[in-house]
Amino acid sequence: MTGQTLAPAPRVRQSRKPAIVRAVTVAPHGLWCLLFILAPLVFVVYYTFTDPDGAFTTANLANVFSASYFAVLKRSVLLALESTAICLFLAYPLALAIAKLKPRNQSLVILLLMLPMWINLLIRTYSLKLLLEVNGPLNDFLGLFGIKPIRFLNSEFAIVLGMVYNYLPYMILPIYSVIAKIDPRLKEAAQDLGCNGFQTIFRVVLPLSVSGIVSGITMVFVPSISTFFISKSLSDGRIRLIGDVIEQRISLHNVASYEIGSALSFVLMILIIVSMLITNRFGDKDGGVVL
Amino acid sequence: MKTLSRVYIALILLFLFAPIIVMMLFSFNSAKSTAAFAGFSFKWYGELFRDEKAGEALLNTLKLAVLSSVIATVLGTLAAVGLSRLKRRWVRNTIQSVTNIPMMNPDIVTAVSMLMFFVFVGGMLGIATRSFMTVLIAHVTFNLPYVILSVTPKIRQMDKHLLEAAQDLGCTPIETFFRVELPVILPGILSGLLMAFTLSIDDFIITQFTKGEGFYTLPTYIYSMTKRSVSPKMYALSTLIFLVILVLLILSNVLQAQMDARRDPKKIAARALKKKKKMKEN
Amino acid sequence: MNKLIELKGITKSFDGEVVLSDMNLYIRDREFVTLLGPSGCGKTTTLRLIGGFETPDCGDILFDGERINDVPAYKRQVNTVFQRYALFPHLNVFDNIAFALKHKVPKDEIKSRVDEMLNMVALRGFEHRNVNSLSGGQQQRVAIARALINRPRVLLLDEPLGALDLKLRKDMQFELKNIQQATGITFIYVTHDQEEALSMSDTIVVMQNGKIQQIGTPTDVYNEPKNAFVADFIGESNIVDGVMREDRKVFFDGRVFDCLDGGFEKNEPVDVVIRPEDVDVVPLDRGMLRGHVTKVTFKGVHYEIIVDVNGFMWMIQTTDYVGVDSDIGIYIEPDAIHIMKKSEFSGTIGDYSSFSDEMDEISNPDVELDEHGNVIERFDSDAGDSDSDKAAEEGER
Repeated sequence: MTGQTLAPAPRVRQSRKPAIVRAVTVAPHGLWCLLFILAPLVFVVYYTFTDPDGAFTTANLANVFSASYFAVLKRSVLLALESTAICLFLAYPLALAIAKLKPRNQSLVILLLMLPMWINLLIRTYSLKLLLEVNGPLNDFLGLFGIKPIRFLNSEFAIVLGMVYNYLPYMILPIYSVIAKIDPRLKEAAQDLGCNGFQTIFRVVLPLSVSGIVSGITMVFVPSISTFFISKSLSDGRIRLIGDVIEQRISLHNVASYEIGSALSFVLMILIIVSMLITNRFGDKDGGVVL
Repeated sequence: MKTLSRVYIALILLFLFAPIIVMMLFSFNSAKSTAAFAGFSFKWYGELFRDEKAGEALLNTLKLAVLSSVIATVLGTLAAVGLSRLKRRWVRNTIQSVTNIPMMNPDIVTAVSMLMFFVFVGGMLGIATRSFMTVLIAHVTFNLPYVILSVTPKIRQMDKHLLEAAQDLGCTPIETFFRVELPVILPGILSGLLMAFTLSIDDFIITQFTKGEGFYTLPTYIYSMTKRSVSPKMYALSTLIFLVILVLLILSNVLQAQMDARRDPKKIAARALKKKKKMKEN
Repeated sequence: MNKLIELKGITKSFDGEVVLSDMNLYIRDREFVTLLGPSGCGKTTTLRLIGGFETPDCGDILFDGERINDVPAYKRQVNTVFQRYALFPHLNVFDNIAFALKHKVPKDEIKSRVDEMLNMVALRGFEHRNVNSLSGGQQQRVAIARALINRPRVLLLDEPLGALDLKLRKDMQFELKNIQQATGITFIYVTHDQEEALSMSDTIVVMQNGKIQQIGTPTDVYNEPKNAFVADFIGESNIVDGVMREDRKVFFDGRVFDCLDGGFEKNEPVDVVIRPEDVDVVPLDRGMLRGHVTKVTFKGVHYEIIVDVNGFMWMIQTTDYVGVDSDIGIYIEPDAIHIMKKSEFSGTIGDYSSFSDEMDEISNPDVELDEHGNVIERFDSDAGDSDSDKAAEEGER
């Protein structure tokens, strides 16, 4: 019969198995990250803070905050905020509406929403430009109602419209995916305790969907503030955002232009990090973000 | 309330698709102007097919996409598997955060940073700062986080006991990886591959900054076309790209649904029942 | 029958918490052994150490006399049936069962051995079925077939019946026992269900706090528990403090009772165990003790009554009806009394004023419980009281 041995055994220390295999699978990737993700960022900082002779200077940075560049910075931030806000106000009710459909239809609508995302930004923006031209289809359509042709293009309105047009799906999807996961019984509990439709949304759905909202805001604000093609094509390059200036400078491909380009990119990065820190304050308490 | 919701959804969808549909229409326009639709014609498609540069750009795009997505998938899958086994949490989190930087950063910042890296290194080593190699490296870099993002959930969802069961039944750790782990996480790997491929095809600014002179991918080629006065050739190209993407998306969704159905117990039971009924009838 | 598996001086901790401490155990060939205990007692860890999925911090594991600490899982002659079966979702039933033999044995032999296994678990005709489409009971049989095809000398089973419904569980208990006896393989079975352990095992190893509390046959462990924990964990028990006046005479509840146990020191404090079914309810004048009935529950097979005897709540099972709030006499035969030495568990078990630990703490705001009702933390409201002081206080009541 099974029993207990009474004599104690000599204690033997076990040798640790080397974690070589683990290191081997992660090492190539780790090396790649070091070389091609971290080092490039270091070099952006390097070119920001050096002059053509390689000496340390803050002139590039100061240049960024000079009058002309600063106006561009301000404009970029303002337009990005506008388009993010508009996207949010359009997307939230839409997400609620989609969540009410039958599951099959929900998938269909989401698929349709995702379709434009897969089309190249250039094509999407260009097709919008096509639509908005003075003698273009939209004005033709409005002309049917006797409205005179409107100059849509070459205005901040066009740029914001372009941003909203391109990035709206990026706001809808995270919000929708969070709302769809809310346990329907929570809404039933709210109604059981006396809330009507609107109250249920404000008191239950909205607080629970905050992580989706934060995701959406991040996914719209970041590309909006850094875009250049939208502004370039919808205003023929006349209204310039940070992205335009960076693109213009970098494309000259000489050291001086690299420096100002890096400095601008550096400031852009800082702006984005700051905005993400702010939004994460309001976001999910465990730092969860829906992608 | 219901109809209001539906109308709203329809309006937004219309808003999103109208410009693209208009562009598609005008790609068949026999006249050049966008002012009026003169008549139906395929001539811009014809011009497009005769455009050598466009053909070259297409080839380059595909070459780049296939190479970068495969490399990123191999590196990323290995990394995801390795990371899931890591015991020290801080190492795992650091590597994951660093990997995600290209995903969080706007395209243009990633593009500038990679260019600065290549400029510096190229200057020091005396090699070309921009070439096919540099574009390829850049593409792999921004594809990696998406592959890891695709594969990691599948690894996490996998029953850890499966690996122990395989070893219990006599498989060495390497055999376990190939006979059990890989097949089970395959859906994640494939969707990561597809995602990387699509992102690569779609990328503009990173390619624009890191490519060499005279090298064009479809997006950069479209950009160069928009700089000059636009020929409706571009609308034709855009329409074609849209249709291809549409087909790919439908295909991937159908495949995904099929794969899910094969593994869904309820559906399997339903199919088995159907089979039995059929056999009884015969 | 030789010692097939030996664990000598095994210590294992996870994240600084000691799960097994200085454990010594040997398991003989051809036996059905059950490791029984509540969750967290170390039984699953013991199983995993034998299987090779964990390595001990200190100590040796011997298989047939040879030290196998450094032998990896895939080289041990041991196979496992996992709790949730761990069937490979990308392979069908045939390929799952054949898994261990693939590339190691010729194709036709694989087929005949898989057929043999399918026969044994009564699943002929299921070869090409998708494992995800099988019921829990069927998946379990595939898991068993998959593990046995290797003809291991030991089969480890980690709570394999937990996910099945009650009646199927009972059927499977018979089947597993039959398979074990037919194949002669040593089964090492882990469970927290004491009824399961009692009905299936040749030997039961009762564990708690990373230590073996008692090893014995089912009847031994039930009739002669070694300490208060084992007495309380297996079956229902009334455990009271007593004093051994001399051999075969024990003093508790204000009088001396005749019993059958001896070998204790004169006037040694002991734990006295009396099973509810062994207490006789008699008219007041014929009773050895007097009790006041506080609760009566009809259980079909018998009445379960909670009786206040000198402030301590007893549970008595009786087939005669007794009214609530009535006074009854209690008669205890000598062979119904079992004496145990005092242990670390004395005083922690308490009486039948409640059945669960959670109930005791449920209204206490100074205690934090997890989702299962187990105590995670105690916040002492009076500074200076230690946890053990409080526990002792509660136990004495």
